[in-house]
Amino acid sequence: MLFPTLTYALFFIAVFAGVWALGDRNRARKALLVAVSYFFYAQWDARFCLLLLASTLANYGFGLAVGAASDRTKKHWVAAAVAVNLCVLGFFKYYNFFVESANDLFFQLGLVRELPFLEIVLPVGISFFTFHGISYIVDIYRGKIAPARDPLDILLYISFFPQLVAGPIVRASFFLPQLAKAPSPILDQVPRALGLILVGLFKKTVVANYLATDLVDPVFVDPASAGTLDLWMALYGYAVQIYCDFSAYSDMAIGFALLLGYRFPDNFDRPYAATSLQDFWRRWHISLSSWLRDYLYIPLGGSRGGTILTYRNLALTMVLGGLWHGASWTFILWGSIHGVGLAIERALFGDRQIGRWGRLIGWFATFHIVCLAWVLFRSQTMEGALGFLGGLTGNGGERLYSTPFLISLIVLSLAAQVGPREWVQTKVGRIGTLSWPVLGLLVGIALAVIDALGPEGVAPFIYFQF
Amino acid sequence: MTPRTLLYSFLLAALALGILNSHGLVRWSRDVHPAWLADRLLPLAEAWDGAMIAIGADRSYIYVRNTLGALR
Repeated sequence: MLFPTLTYALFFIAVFAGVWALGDRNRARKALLVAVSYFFYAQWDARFCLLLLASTLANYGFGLAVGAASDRTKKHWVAAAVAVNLCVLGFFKYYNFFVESANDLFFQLGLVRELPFLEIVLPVGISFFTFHGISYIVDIYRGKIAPARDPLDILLYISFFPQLVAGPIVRASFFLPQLAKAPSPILDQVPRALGLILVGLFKKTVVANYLATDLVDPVFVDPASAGTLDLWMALYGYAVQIYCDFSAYSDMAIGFALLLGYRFPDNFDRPYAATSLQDFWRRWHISLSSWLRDYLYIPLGGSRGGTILTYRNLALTMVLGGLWHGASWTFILWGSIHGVGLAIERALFGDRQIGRWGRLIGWFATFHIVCLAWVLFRSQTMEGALGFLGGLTGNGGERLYSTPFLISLIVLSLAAQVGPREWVQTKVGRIGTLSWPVLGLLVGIALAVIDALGPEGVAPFIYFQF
Repeated sequence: MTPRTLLYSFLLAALALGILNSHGLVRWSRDVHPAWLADRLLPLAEAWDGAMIAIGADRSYIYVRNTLGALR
């Protein structure tokens, strides 16, 4: 059940009506939200509801154990919980990748040994609910939250449908306190919620879908037959597409959660306006980058062990961040580029302030490093990525895909990254002053216009595969 | 605004969408699961679509679509 569909709209309206009809009955509210979240998840593959339930109940048990353990045994419980979470993720997501890599290695070493491949279906959202589980356990261990006594709390925290399949990754310490009592209607947040949902729909249904179907997909499928201009436009086009696709999902998730009375953290902050890679990672997929910082980079030692260890920790965090996205060498190399880039940036500039021209050069360099690294992220194979990158230095070729319409879409989308945000927020804020019939008509007209502007059908969100 | 009035807004938005994009309702009805539900919904959606075409409610949707098609 994808957000930009009528099926989801009807589902959400029913949930909205049911949840607010329950008023102050907090447990009933949470039970209803858990039930509809499992129903939502079952629309992809009902079998994996059991996996989601088992993972949640295991984390609930581990949480109680960590909370009750002495300081001496606490660490063992945390290690066991993290290991169980990572084993589940590792089996479903990485088993065949490691088998393939091991078999290649055995072959290189001249050993006749074939480890068996398994036909494994990747449960949608597994990377996200695994990270939620780890966040819950580690937050208890660090004393940020008490273990949830009511299983409904942890069931809802991990399965809450707006964030279940593609984030944002919400910290247990951020979300669980919101479940202590029934939320009062966040009516001052309605304009923001509707603004996020409508802008998200536009970004996904119009911008991301056109760029994907008319430019990025055909060029990446066969980069050898594309002209140089097409390759460059596909390079920039994919940067815009993945931003509009993923930030749209996050925007809508935040908006839907707000309408139900819950807050999620922001996940994007105009990432292509970043003037350094460090700045980029403060603006792109913020919930993942801060998760990696707090649950991986800092436990590895962060910047406490001297210069060399800091670089190692940065690089390792980004490589593992790359691997989190998918079981492929292209993702590992993508993470490595960012990790090495961050280390070089730290070595060259540290925390030094740079001037206006420095920021401009920094923006240009950062934007192009990010765009070039996206080629690895998008390509199915390393050969495909290298073929694409090699073609960028080519000379001419026939222009097949880069129409003025698509080029305008790319330019306008990038320009919006530096647009007047406050002006937009003021305009969106006026929604709150409208009467309900006017609001309803405007939302209906906006939905119809967005649907009319987009191509037929809705492609799945890119981050569902992670 | 209360959750109740916001719900009314959503229902009105759904109605406006159904009026302006009645073709979309037919497309959606074809893909509804389970099939028995689609079989019941489809004739209703087609009748609704016919009524909207008769009063010209689909013109603005088609205009926007054609304009963008020309731009592409």
